[in-house]
Amino acid sequence: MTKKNNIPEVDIVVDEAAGVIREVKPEKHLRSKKGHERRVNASIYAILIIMSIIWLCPFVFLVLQSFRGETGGQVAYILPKQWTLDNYAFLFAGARIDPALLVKDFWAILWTVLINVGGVLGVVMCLRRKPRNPLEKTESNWKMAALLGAGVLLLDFIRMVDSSNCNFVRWFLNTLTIALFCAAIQTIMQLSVSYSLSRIRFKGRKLLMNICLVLGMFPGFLTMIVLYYLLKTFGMTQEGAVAGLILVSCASSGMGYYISKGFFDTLPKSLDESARIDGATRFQVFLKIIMPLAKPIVIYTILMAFMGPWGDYVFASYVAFGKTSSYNVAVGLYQWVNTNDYQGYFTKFCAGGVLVAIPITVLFMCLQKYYVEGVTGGAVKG
Amino acid sequence: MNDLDYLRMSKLQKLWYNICKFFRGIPKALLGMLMGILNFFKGIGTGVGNVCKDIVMTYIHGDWKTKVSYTVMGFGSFMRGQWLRGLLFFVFQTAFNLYLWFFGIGYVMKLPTLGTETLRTTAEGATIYGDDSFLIMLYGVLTFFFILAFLYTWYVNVKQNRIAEQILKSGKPLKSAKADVASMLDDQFHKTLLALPVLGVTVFTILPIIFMILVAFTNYDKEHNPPLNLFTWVGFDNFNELLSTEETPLSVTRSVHPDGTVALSVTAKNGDIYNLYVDPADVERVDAAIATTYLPATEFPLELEAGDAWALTLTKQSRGASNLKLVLPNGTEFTFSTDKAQLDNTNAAVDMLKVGGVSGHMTAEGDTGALTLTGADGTAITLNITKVKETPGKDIDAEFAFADRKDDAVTLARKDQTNGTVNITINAEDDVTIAAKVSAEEAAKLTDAEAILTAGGKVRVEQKERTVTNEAGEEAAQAYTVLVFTEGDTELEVEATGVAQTDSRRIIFVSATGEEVDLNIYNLTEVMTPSMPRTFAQVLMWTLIWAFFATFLNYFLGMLVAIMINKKGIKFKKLWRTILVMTIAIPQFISLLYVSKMFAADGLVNGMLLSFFGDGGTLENWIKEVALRFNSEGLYAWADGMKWMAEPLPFWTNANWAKVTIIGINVWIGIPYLMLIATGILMNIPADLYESARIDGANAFQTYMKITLPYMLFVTGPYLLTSFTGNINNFNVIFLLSGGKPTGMGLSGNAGSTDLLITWLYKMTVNDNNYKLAAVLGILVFVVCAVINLVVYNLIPSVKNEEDFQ
Repeated sequence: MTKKNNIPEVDIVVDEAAGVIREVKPEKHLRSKKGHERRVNASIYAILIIMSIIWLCPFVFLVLQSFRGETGGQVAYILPKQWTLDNYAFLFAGARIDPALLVKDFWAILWTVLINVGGVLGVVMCLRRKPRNPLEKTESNWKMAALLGAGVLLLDFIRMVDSSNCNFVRWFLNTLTIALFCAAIQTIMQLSVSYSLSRIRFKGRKLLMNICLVLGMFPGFLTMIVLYYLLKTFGMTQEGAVAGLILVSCASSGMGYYISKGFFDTLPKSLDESARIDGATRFQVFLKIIMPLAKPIVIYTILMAFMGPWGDYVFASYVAFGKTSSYNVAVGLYQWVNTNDYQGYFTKFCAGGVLVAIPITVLFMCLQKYYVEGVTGGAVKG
Repeated sequence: MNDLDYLRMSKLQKLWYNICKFFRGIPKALLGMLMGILNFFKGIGTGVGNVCKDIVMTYIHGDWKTKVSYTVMGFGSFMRGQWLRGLLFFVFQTAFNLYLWFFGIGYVMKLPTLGTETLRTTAEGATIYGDDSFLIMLYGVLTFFFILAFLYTWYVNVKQNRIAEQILKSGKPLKSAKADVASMLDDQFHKTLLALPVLGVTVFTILPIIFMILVAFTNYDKEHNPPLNLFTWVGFDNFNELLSTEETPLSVTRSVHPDGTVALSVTAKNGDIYNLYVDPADVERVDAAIATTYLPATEFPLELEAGDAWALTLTKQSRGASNLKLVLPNGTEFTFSTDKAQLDNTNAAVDMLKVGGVSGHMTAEGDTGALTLTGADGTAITLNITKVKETPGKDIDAEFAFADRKDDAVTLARKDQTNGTVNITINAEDDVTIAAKVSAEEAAKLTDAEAILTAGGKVRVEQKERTVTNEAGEEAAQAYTVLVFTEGDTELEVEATGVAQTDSRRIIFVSATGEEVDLNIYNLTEVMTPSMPRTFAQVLMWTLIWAFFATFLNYFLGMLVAIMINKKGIKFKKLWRTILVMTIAIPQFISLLYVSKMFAADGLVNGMLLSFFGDGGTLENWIKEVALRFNSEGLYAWADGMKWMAEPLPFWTNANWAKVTIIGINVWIGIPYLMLIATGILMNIPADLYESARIDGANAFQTYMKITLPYMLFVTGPYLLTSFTGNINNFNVIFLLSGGKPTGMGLSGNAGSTDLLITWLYKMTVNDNNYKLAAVLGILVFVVCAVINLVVYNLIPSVKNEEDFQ
């Protein structure tokens, strides 16, 4: 009902028996329909609010518990009686920053030089490239350079932290290292596999895909013991568990190509063909035409690869067995709540959980858009 | 049937028709699967044939460079100027040969036995490393991979020659090394891209999977853990252990508790294990049963008479150590070893046995002892033996049954105590045992009671009440228990204290000769451990139930939430979504571990419930306050007498509660994924469909059933399938929430009631080191997933075609 013309709304009903057209004042009917709508919406709001409470409660409790001063495990009340930051202080006690660690011994120096020289070279490469034609954008290079630089600085920083006296910081940095490497290597692996399976038709392509399908049906932990021995021969267990975890999770990551392949499938093939006709090699097509278009799926893949290691418990605990300094956060914190001293460590677990959850959650929320795109696309394509 | 026939049918008929069609389709789908597999092998066959033909033809028609390339790889390419290719071929060949002859071949040769020499310490204390079955298998498989890779490369090398010859014949130049490198970024770009991932998957996925498949056919477990104890091939034994319904040989072991109770562990023929506790009074009969009919528990020292049919054989001799086996007439076997220093004596003993007429004497304590053999001519040889192991005789074909009571006689056993009271045990009807204490005054009646029972009478327990005068002179009610003995019209009441009724049954041991010994058993039902096959069936069942609920419950609820959020007129859409998505963002080990602790017996949920609904809790106080305010005594009394919650809810301690809790919490974790997916798809449903439905007068429910649901199901069919198999392997939720608990009754192999196949597999690997069964379990999980996938893929043709989306 618009106010402008003030014409009362009416329904026109054909009364066949009477053979006439009647006008019916529908006000009452309309109001009830609106009321019905309102009731429906009200109940939906009610459900959504209740759901939100259920969804948020555990996390709110977790945060509150992390500030609890009273020791002990679970308590039957929500608000701490005694507020404290001790639990957080405990997590960081003993950690300090020592730049000398970067040049501690020969290997440390080599590693530092490698990372930094490589990083600087990468940044220079990204910035140096000038657009061949004025239409080409250079924006992405700046971003790449910034990302690369930040990554190198982060790696340097991680290595500067002396965490020999502080388990939690050690675990956190271990996980961060694994996550950074996984994000880089897994993304490259997955994109190369999905690109070649999606855009290039070669002999044995179907066979490869079928093999992946069959391999995917074997439960993951079946091979744990063999992987452990394989890593052991390379010295990548216990002390070297971090490297071992990176190796294992990256080596098989090519099998998770489904979602990005689904994305590549949707890009029109004529793009490749016209570029090829213009004389571009496949490598150039991949790098200069497909990659810029695939930004959402690249970000999705990086996000997933980065988030994965934060929750990896099973294999991590198996590989790092007994070597506390090689744990990741999941193994370390799990061990805190499942030891005999669970009562003493519970609030510390909550504090650690909060510290792990915050960066991951913030990152996820920022990149949520890409996640939704990936998940939705992946689900439709199967 | 044509379309018109179909349309004419009623809804019910249509449904029935579709159901029939589905099941009729299954054989066809299975057949299709079979044909697919057959075609696959046919393809391999023809492929190999073609390759062989190719190789032979190339050799016949090729020039000398080609012919040399058959033995020196890359020679032809090198001579024709493709030096890079030639060099790579040659380097690969050299590397392969070095690997194979200096490293791989040794392991491959040992594959059939998986090693014979264990790690041991010499008399001087030096450790000598023997074989390691694990490494033999691992490097054996790896070498096979290398051999396959070599054969393929060799074939490529041959083919290269042929192609090069043809190109040269047609007068064109060959590709230069530079062009080769350039093509790796162009025509052959997929090879560059796939090289690393394929290598990674081969080494870290395919190799381990093949290894574990092989482990399923060995006895690799805690007892066979190299290098101290080697494992070896056992064929399908492990599959039998997990799947077979065959009868296992019956066995009994017994142990005595400090209080005199005898614990028996009986493995029945179907593999179920019964742990039984026997009344101390029955101990002697248990011993008798075991000794006479069952396991001839060998007493040491053991005398071996020359005439008896015992046999001593040498089973293995390596590096001076000998393994020997002694078999007694009753089938009991002893295995033991002698060390290097006694090699001559051992051989002399074996020679002496060949002459015959040898008698012997063996003593042993723990697993070391001595064996003295006396020959017919009186010479004696004494061997110090180690690693003595006794294996009960297997040739005794004993029956084992929980037989019904043979007669209905009720018997009474009494034990008179020094203070005049009598402890009695009555075998009542229906396998009930009544134990009671009778006071000195009442004990006089027991003689009559026994007479009643002997005459075929029965007994029952009754609670009675009488009025007594207490110290304060008041009359009070006092409860007491009587045993009522009845026979015809005769009835005798005996007052008793400490009356306990135990459900007991009889266990009857029957020897091969038909001798029977029966025993009264307590606590029969409490401690049965089912056989592995039964446990496997239960775990599989729960896995499938879990996967079903975890998939479909989340699916429908998630869709519902998505519809609610996307409904026109609902505001803050983004806020709702963001809140729900929290469970995806936060690592599961934090959220699930925390929630699991929340629902624990001492957790927040139970704490709050108890403080609200518990005895003296908020609710009770509140009702009482209201009652006081309104002067309602009835309400107050009701609140006071009400049975308030006393125990915490058994979220993780009761099997069924735990299952429901897990499914519930999984909804919390799972809905957001489905909400996101459904949101994306719901947006794509053409709006005019809804428009026309509304004009036709459909209500919300009808539009959902007719438009939304079919569309969603059609589009997300493949997703449902992957998510179902994904849930079968959903380790995190179960492991972090319940860890498979509650464990205990009803399952063997350390499985818990909420264990999925995958968590059970994990426990077997990490806790029990039972790698062989874990491997079998892994294969079975694969089979389950594969069958589900193949059947569904063949039933829903739209799932198959990938190109449809392009």
